Amino acid sequence: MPPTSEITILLTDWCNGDQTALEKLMPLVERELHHIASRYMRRENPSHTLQTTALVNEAYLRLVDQKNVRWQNRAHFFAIAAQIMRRILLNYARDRHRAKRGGRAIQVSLSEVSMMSEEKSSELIALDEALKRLAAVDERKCRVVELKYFGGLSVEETAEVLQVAPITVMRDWNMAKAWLAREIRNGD
Amino acid sequence: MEINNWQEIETLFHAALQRAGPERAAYLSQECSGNALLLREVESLITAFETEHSFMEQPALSLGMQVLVDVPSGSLVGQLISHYKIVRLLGRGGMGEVYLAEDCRLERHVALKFLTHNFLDDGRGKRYLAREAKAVALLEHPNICAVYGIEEADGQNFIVMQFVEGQTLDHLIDDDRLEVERILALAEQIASALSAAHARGIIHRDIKPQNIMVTASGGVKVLDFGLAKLIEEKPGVKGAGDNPSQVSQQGLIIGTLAYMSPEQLRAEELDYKSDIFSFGIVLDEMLRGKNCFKRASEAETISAILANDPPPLDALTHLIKRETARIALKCLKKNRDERYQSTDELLLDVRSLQKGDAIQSQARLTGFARRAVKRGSYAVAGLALIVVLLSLLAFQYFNHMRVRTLAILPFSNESGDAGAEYVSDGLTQSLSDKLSPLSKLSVKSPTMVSVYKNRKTDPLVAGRELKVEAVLVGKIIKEDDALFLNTRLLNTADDSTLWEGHVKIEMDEIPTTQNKIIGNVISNLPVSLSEDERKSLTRPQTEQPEAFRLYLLGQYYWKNRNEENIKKAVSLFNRATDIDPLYAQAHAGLANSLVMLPRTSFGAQSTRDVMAQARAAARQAILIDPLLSEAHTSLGIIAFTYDWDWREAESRFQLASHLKPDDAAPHYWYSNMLTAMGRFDEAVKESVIARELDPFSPAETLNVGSTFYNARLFDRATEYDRRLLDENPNNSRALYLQGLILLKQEKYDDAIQVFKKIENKIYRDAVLGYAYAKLGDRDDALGMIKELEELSKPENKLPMEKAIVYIGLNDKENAFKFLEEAYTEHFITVAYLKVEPIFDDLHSDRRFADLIRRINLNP
Repeated sequence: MPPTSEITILLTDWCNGDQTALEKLMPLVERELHHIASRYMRRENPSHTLQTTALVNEAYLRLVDQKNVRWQNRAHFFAIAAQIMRRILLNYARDRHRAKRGGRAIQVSLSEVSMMSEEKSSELIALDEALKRLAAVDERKCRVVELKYFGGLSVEETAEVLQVAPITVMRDWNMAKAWLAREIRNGD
Repeated sequence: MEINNWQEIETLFHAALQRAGPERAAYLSQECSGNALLLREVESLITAFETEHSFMEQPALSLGMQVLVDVPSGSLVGQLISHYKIVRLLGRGGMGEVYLAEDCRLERHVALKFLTHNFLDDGRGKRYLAREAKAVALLEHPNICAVYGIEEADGQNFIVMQFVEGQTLDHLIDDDRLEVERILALAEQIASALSAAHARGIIHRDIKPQNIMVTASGGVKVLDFGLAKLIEEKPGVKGAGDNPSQVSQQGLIIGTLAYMSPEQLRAEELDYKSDIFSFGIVLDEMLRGKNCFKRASEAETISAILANDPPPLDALTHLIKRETARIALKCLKKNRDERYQSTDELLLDVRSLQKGDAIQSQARLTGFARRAVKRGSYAVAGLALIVVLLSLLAFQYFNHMRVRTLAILPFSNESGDAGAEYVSDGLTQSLSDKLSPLSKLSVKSPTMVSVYKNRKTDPLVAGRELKVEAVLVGKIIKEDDALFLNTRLLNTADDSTLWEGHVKIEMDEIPTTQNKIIGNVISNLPVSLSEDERKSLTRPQTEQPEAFRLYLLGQYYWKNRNEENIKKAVSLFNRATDIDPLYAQAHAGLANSLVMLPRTSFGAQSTRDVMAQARAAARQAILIDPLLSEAHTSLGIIAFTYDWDWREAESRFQLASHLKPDDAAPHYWYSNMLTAMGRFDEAVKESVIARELDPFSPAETLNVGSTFYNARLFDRATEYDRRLLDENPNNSRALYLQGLILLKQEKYDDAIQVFKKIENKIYRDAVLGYAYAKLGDRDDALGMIKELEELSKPENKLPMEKAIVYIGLNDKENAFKFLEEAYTEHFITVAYLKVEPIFDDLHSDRRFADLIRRINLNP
């Protein structure tokens, strides 16, 4: 099966409530994001590089067969990308932390080029912990943060994904921000 | 924390945010009456919300993208590739990932190394991989991590290696002081691994603690003969069409800077003595507990390796330790011929020390003997000097043509073919890039946009002005539809022609054309070249003619820079690096262009984004060629204007000017940085050097003027500014400086007349508004604010410009408000805050002192 149709079917399945479809979908999307990111960073005119959703959108257009999906699928796709981004950043931050403390024996020797500061990686790790606690109290706020912060979505796009009004997203975002900032600072 | 009234908290939070000050306090105390816990909860949320402005404001997506690019996902875990089941990620780095996998056929654990796509895209990565595997598969040694083979599955190439469990040496060094017996045991095993490899003609090229695995029982496995290269190709090793020397010809240097040998940094041909040097660093590190060359910045690290001896180790009373240090020192000689001449010799010394025997080598010379040798070498050196002087005299006597200094004047395009314009500029530039590193030649390559290129100044006059002994001039002409480059080498002293050349330019083969010209020029200059220099001269920047063409075109736009042209340059350099990802100069060109971008372009990008890209490009360039002056200059500019990391900036500029002594750019930027710090004497000195190196460049003349202006030597500033205005009365930068000087002399009316001549509104409105304000013309000043408001864009609200007008109006509240915005955005002008005289009125305010401290300077 060509990858486009496979992904389209998986995405539709997931939108229809099939959770196992998501697991299969993740690595495929991640590989494509990776591919697109390297191309963007190396090639594109820098004035376009960092338009936040362009990257995800391109992945979506490339991976999903446009004729056979409903518009809601696009929103779901963005949600996946945001989750992937969160995980990637967290893994990277953790690795950095671990490498710093030298805890683990690893067979690797290729020179490590780090692009994340010590503070940033600590902040990301703390943020992830706090987000998990937030999700336990208020799942939607956690999703808002994921989409806006990790997925780079605008308020309107976030509202579309979550099927709520933009004003609700704004309120969720403010509350979540205040709560997370306080949690992280207290954790220091 | 228990949260059972989340809804209530949230409602109160939003409602309270709608209210301010006492009203809020009253509201909250009423709503939470009696519930102190609830009140505290809401209040703390509001405090967090109002103080943590920047928290999560910038989406993490851009950081995520960088991580995505540089760090593959680790997503292979759980997959079956060929007959390997991937168990987990062991580690990752700049070039690839290493996984632990289960070999389902042989039922053993193995390590699989995948290279990133970046390196595999162009086929070079595949060659690299194949070469590594073949070279190392030949090695069987208990201290070398075995390579089982190279395989391809699902379109991915990977190396299958022995899986070693243990810790890398850097962790051992970090954790505790190593006993000398332990050090020697480790050193013996590392040296014997190297010795085995060297015996087979394989050098490691990347010896460092991270590459040395130590198992629980203390056994050593040297990993990653990743850069191993066969010094002598042996029959049966070389694959069809696979030229192992090709990769190194690219000048690709991969490895950790702090463990490189001097010759490796200079991208010279390497032999096993480079490994001996790196081994010396590792040995020294085991004794010292840290790397003896590693400094706070890359630039300082490079300088240390090239020029400094390792600092003496703390009083080593232990005899064996002292002797071990001596072995390390011998490995660490800058000149490779003074190191151990074979790895076996080194191994022998380590082993005899292990046995407690006396060392058999020269290292055992006692203090007296060593001093004697040293004295002797002075005598020899003195003698040599006399011989050199004599031969120089003889040379002058017999040969009046003695060229040590050369200027390459911009080639002119007289072909009538506008498309050849960039070729003429490009060839000028790349010739000077090639020739200037030669130790016996000083090469100047002035930018003479207005003076020489268009007005056809006599090249001899230019040559004398530049104080050089010869000038190279050239023009591109057209004959029978073909382009030719005619060149002449002129002796400045007597006007004679030393050499004339006529070379056909093959547009598809510009590198070849360039090599022909270089060959001709060099053979006609009375300089002798070392073997390394000769090699580096003919080594092309890139083997891809198209990448080279794009690069030249990019350089052309870069030299004729304005906002549009810089953007074009960025895109051209990007394309050049796409074709050849290992093209260091193109990466550096990209960095240079991006660094200049935010100042001229008030486009859609934040300073932060542009600087991040510039930094990445410069780092890539340095990874490929650590001694590329331009890339260090770029990093210096970023450190200076964006990071406000003065120490880093200073060492970058110093290194860059050391690497390319005839280049004005590092001196220009260094002078700017010194100015910004208030180190005016040094700043003036540097700006004058920059101008001497490039005397016809208006930018350099202006820079001397600006430096004097910031140092508040207004007469001297005016002197240089006049020169520019005499030449071109409409030079807007010169007019700007003239106006600023008038402002400081309180001649506000005159200043206004001058500023009005400047066309660019963004440029002039701020200072014009300031002058109006000083005259007491409040309405006109506010009019300028209004105009600036209209010119503002969401990405750049021109805070610095507005702040300046408000300073004139003595409205400090607004002035600081906008300065704060400029600070948040890291606008380039912020770096000059401390010294720029226009901010003088703010100096007494403690908020100003606070700002200065935040850009890491002393108020």
